[in-house]
Amino acid sequence: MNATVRVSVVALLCLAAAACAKKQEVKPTPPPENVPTATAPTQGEGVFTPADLQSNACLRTRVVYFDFDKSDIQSQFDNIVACHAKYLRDRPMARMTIEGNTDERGTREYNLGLGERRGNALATALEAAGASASQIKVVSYGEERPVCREHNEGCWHQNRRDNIVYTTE
Amino acid sequence: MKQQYIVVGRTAYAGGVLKADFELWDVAKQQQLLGLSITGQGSDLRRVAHQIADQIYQKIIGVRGAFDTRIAYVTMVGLGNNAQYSLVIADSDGYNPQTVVRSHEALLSPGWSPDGRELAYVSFESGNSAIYIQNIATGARRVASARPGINGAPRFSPDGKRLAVSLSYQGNPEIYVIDLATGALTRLTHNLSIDTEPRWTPDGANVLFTSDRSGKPQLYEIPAGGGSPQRVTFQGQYNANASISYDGKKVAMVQGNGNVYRIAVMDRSLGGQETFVSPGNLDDAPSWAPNASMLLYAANEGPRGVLYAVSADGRVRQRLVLSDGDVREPAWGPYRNP
Repeated sequence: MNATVRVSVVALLCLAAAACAKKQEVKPTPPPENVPTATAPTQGEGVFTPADLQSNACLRTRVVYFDFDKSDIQSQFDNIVACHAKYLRDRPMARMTIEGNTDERGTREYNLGLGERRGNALATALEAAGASASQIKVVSYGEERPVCREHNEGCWHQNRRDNIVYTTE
Repeated sequence: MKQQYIVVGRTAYAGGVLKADFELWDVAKQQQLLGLSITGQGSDLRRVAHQIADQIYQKIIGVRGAFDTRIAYVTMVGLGNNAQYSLVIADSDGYNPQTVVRSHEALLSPGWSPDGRELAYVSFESGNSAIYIQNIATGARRVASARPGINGAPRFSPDGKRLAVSLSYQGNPEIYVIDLATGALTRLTHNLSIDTEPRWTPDGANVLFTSDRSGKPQLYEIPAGGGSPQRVTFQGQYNANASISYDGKKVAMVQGNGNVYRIAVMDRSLGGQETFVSPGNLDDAPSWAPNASMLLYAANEGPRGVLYAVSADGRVRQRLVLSDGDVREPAWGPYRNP
């Protein structure tokens, strides 16, 4: 009797656990693969697939910008951090390289360090949001890969950035 | 005659060999100061002329001339995927450019071995920074460091046996010394800041480097065997990328104030007195001639980078005539043996 009760309790717990665990996958009536575009799944809802890297507006954003001489991730990029961290959580085999970049002011070697600091800041934020450190590689290009080559703040702002590159989707 | 000195001479070719005889005279004293004969390959007219200039310079100034030296620099042409970087060696005045490395990825921080036979440099050809050492004459090269993270800022020690570098494989950029015979690494700095751009003092006893441990980048000095670093620069918001003169007295650096980055020369024998020798706004990479009479630096002119040579006091400045494209990262080579 006791044994039966215990077994059923365990079974119930298993069911509940399974239900909980499965909720993410089972609950949304239109499966996430069929959701057309731009509806970034909120936390705990839907699981990202590689197709979302092309279709999801948040995941398609692969750049984070920085203030001059700063490497902290500004709050306006919180959603970018959240969706890419979720992608890495949902896809444990996924791998990304974060490329850290600076503007042209200052020396090339110091800027290599600054670019790395920016790459590490994004990596740390992604890991804090649940991504695994083993999924993320940081490379600094310093000031060597500008996207804009004029000598003014409008240009410098575009160059102070982390680029997210998925090497395994 | 109002001139203080006069040089007379003649050249002759015989069997592919160039022979130049010249005399240097003190006009007022009507006294011959030099009477020499220099020979070279028939194709070496420029080099022989530079050697004569070095003799005259030494006789009048009392310091060895640096005309018969070479420089290294990096050029970039094209953009994005079509970018082509070249590491180039040329005569000290920019003539006779020869490409020694070509890459589609960035090349930077060339540093000469003290015998002038090798260059250490950083290449991104693998997708990450890596340090190579290349024999100039043969083109043979080896990897000095290709660890995870940054492999940057290589500089040969004055005895040529060690290479000071900045590596971040242990978390953040720190200064290390690589023993080139054994590959053994000695870590000099221990700090969470960016520590980079190591520069040997001429006696090999100390290393100057750039660190932002106090907030913005400043120069510090540490014993080459390890020890506690002392801050060297206190003027200007941003001081980095030092070049030390042969006698250790003058330290050229990039000094940034606001958006203006100029080359400053600090005289350590005069209590750290500083003078600017370049006008800005985005000047970088000062490099002393081996006799410290002049230095090279990189500047921007519109969309392209150019190199300037400037006298140590900043009074005489001249743009080097180099190839098209974006030119940067000058490194003045050591004296050459004739």
